[in-house]
Amino acid sequence: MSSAAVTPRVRLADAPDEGRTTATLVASLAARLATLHVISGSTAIASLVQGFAALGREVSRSAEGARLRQALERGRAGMNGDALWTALRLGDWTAGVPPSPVLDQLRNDLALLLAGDLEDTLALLPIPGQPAGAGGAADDGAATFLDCTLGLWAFSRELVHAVEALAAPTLPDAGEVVASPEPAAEATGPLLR
Amino acid sequence: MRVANDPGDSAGAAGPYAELFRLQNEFQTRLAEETLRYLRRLQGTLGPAAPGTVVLPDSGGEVTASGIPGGSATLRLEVENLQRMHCVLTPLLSPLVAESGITWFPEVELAPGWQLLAPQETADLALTLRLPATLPPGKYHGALLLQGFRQGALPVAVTAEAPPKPRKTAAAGKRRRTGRGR
Repeated sequence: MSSAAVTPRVRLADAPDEGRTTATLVASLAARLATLHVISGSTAIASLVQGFAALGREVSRSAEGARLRQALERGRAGMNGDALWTALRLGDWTAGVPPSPVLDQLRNDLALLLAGDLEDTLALLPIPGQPAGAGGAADDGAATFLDCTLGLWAFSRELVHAVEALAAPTLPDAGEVVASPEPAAEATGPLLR
Repeated sequence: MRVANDPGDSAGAAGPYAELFRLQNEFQTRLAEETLRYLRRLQGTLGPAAPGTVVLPDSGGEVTASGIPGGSATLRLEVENLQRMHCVLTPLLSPLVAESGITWFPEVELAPGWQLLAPQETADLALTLRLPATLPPGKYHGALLLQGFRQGALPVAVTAEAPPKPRKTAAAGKRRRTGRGR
């Protein structure tokens, strides 16, 4: 086994005109919730389905995702899923609906839970949010059953990791036995004899 | 000109206006579809932004590793979070393709598989690939995908080296020489 002598390095930075700060993430979350009051439930769910499908297409480019996809395609689940998807016209329902950036939203919400200045920022509400702009109008075509299934898989995996990471610093050991701090007064009272 | 509404009338079914009505109907249908599509796209642009992350490679070089079939190869990458908020790193490896056309779906062991990066924190990623014993030697190209990031793919090259030929031991050589002398 051997590896390259110089380790390549990458940096993670803010997207242009989209700084990730506590204020912008709070504004984004608040705007997301406010939007639910002005769109129909059907549109909101269709946007989420499109978002999961977009994530599924992305994860299908990986070796692990491609293997899962192939396995699902070959099995009964894939055929039945496609049949349901077509019969219920789920592709038509979601076509043209802008995909919700589900992974960005999850990661931004996670970052808010870890922010050190959240309380001060919440005092500044309401903070005006930024519109998604051209990026929000991306038309990824109709969602398919496999796209959506793989997207849900990737999203769930990310969510499980996120919750475990949040709990990790204060997580008690499994199998820990905790004694009661002091016996209850009633236990020694005359009525319980 | 007489325009009939009787379906049995030949002037109604194949008359000069039939094609016009059909074209007009198709046009209105298409116009409604395109208007709806436009409004949905407009709705997307007006929706709330979800600030994201972009990947900035330092040198633009590819991530490389090598190993022999039956062994393993490790791809290493250093990732620094320049953002002011925590960031999540989920690396994935695409299928690798050789110049000969062979596609390899590698079994990858990630350390760490999912990484939470604090602001200004740097993480060292190590992706250990198990090279199947049946993998033909050659250079395999693919991409390291950083899931969820914009422009989040880095070129990868893994070289499967030819396994070394077994070396002749001194004892075996002596035995051979003795045999020749008889």
